[in-house]
Amino acid sequence: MSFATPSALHLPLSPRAGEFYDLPHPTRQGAISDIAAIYIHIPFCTVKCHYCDFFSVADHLNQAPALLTALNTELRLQIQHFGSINPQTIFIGGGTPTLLSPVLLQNLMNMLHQHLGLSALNEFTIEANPNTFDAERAKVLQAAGVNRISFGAQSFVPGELLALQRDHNPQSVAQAVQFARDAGIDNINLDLIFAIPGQTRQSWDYSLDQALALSPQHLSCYSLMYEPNTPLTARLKAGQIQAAPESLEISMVEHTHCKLTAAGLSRYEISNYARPGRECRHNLHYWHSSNHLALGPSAWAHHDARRWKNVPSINRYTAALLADAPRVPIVEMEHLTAAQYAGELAMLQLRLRTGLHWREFQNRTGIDAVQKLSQVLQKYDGLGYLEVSPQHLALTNQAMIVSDTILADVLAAFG
Amino acid sequence: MAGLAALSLALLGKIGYHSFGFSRSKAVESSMKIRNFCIIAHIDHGKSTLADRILERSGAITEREMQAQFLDDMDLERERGITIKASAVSVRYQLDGEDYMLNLIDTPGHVDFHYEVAKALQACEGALLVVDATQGVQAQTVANAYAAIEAGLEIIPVINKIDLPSARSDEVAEEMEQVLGIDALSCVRISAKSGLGINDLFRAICLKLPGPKGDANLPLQALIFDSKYDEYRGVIVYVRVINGRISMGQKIRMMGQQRVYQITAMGKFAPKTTAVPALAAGEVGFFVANIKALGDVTIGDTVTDVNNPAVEPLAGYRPPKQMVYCDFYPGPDTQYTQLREALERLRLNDSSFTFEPENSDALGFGFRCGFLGLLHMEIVQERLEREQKVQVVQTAPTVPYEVVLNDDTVKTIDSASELPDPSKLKEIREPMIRANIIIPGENIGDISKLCQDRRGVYRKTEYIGPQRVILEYDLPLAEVIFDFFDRLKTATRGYGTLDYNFLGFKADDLVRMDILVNGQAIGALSLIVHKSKAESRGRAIIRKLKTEIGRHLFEVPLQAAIGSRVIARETISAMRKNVTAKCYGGDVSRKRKLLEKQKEGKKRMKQVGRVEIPQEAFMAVLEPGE
Repeated sequence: MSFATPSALHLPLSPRAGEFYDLPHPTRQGAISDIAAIYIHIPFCTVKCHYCDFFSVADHLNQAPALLTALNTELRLQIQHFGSINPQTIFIGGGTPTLLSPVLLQNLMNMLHQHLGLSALNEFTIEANPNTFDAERAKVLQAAGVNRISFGAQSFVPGELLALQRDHNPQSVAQAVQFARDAGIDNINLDLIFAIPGQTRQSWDYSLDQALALSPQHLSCYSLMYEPNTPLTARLKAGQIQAAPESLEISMVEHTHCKLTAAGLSRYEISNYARPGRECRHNLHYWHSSNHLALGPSAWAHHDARRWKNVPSINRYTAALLADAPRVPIVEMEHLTAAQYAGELAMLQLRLRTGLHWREFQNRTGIDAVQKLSQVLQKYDGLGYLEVSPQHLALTNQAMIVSDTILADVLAAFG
Repeated sequence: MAGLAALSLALLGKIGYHSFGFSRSKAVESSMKIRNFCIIAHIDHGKSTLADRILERSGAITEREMQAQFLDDMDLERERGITIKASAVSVRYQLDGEDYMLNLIDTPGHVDFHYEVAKALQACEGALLVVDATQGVQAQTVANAYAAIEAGLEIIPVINKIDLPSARSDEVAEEMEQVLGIDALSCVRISAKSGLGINDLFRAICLKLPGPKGDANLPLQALIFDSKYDEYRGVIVYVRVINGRISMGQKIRMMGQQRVYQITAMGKFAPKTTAVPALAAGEVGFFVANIKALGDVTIGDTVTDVNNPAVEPLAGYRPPKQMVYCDFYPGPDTQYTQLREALERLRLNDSSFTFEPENSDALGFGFRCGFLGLLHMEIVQERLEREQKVQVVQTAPTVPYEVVLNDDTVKTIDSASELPDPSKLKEIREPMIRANIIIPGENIGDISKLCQDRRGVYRKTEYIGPQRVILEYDLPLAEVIFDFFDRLKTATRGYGTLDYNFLGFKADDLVRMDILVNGQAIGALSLIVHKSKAESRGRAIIRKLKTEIGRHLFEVPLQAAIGSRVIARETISAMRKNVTAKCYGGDVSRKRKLLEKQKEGKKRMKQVGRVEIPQEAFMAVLEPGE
């Protein structure tokens, strides 16, 4: 792996206006790439949820066929560039990928089968909105090898779903999970959100109960984030809604941890709980900074200390890839220095309960984290936030709720 | 590129020196009458414009050459290769068939440079006291006018801007009579801008001001009244010859500094540089003598001849005295060595500030700097940033204190951290000033209260005209450098002016107050404070700290203490939640940048124990206590 030199940091090789970056040259040349994971972004939604800051558009489903054609071209170009790809995980996210018709979903599956080697694949996830999922889609997906579905349940209280502008009703979640299981897909995640305006500890407990009743293998429990430029944040600023009190949010975090642990789901990341062996492998690739490609508009890829992003526009994405001389439309490109890479790896791995392993960290970054972090370790010594051993460093459960404060120190320590 | 530019500049300098050289002129004809004078004026009352008009009307410069404010301009282009600011210009004038040599000597204009002003005054026999017809007499005008009168100068009162619609010339003339005891009828009324009344002024200068006394046959005594640093020639020394004669090639001695030099060039500004072979008693000019640093020349020193020395120097020599101190630390993008080099360069042309390395546990390596006054401090900081392009973090200004130990030895300290253990102390003395404050009559109540709040001792009130008064108070300097100007200006809607003289050191009930963050005293925040003010100041400081120091993962107690007695306390509550719930492939880059931003913030923080303190917090001592 080659890192950016610090002096080059502020001088990215930026393309001329209206042009795109080139794909970075793979550092290791060979017929078979070292790409562990593939992400595919399907940016369509029926409505745009008020808290969502992902790139997605409502009511543009008529562009789906063109998008799939463009995705096909992108995948082909990526393979030409990086060599053949045998991912361990695939994740199709959005947006709402299951908004695609069964026929289009089938086309997408065919395309992946046609271009990718699937011998190493051990997890294949698709995100689904409970009310856009049915038996037919479940069947198509299962037949193509999808073995994990992540449902955006968010809450089981209708008023809370309304506050988030989610368009499904709570009953549809159980129904959707059943479709998946009936089709033979038994690895189920539910996304839940807490600290919703108006939510109480009791109503959050109720949603957790409803979720657990569906026996999911995995639960993602996110505290509601007020992202810039979302309708929800605008409503907050306008005083139309009130954020949950900090103390309530903290008690929800603690309650979630207690309740899910008791139910046999253990917390393996700040917001993620899983039954043993059911941790999301694809997301683990992110948190260990594995090489992954990301296809589709606005998707971010990472390969050997380079991170890049496709254009966040369906029109520009398809135009670039359907042109006579097709290009992967990369609009942002970062080349990390060794210090940045190390800081980022620490930032990601410390989100995990397993944390950062000193030796592995040194092998990957060439940086002695024990030495770099000595002041941070000293600063937090005895406060119960850090779990330190000769082998590893991890944040304790208590530390997770203030992890940004600690991670800023960690990042600063790498310079 | 930079190297080339430097080289060509150096060449230019050399060529400039030789080919432009100094145009030759004869020494002043003995028949010529000399008038040495200065202009005393408050800022913006028209000193520079008047100087321009004098140059123009005397024919010293043609209209084509005339550019606004000739004397006051530092721009190289405008000075046509003369890389020094003219501090003294000589012009010729004819009146009633007589030839006059008029030497206009510039004086520094502001409150911190009393000593320099006094020295410039000693080089003159007369002064034009310029007052703006729309503004009236201001505090600095009064102070400088008194200084001129004390120095035995003949005063020509001048009322300027009489052509403005808002001019109230008669009232201002009355004010001058009332405050300064100058006959209101003797005021020369002019408009420096249009030239109105200028001929009357020339007449007054020629006829009213006395010519220089002194004897060209006595041993040399020349007063140094200013000096400038020139990159190629070294120090340029401005002198007024009192007795004797100074000439090219002469070996001279600075009687105060006890240094010997040989004169390599000399001349006058007429207003272009004009070489002269000698300057005789009564004349004003400059010389160059291979002097490397401004610090080698002291304003007020006496120049004499090495072989035929004067018996004693002219009276009144003393080195400049620093009365306000603060620390400069390198800002975020500045290195310690860059700051040191910048200070060294600046000192080449301002020898009146001092700097010494300082090492603060809170702010790292920096410099303890001394200034003549608060304004001087601001000027130096601004010049560092503007001319030297370094970023500076400046701590709150303090004053020097005299401490008397039990064995009666007296020691001067310039920061609270130097204060000896209280058990060894007999007393602490603080610098006192006598302040003249000119304000509208309606503000007497507010300003008297302000002075009393600042431990001022009332001396007198004088009315100048129906609407304005001079308040005279003796005040501790420490109380004046702390937020006094701002309050004066606010209370008087900008009309109040202040001037002061240093009186001496006086013992009072002064204590050292420490500020503790998380139980640890922060040296840079310690201060010497009057006992009666400690509590309110302490509370204000820790309230400010509470807003500046971010939340930590634990409670951070803030305390103000005198010795072991805590007099004020606040607590910064613990950070309880700060987490990014989602961080997947598409979030990593943005998330890292957010944390990097926090990290950049941390770079400007100083870690004290487990607490990170932003640099802004170190200005908390500036918080007013009320």
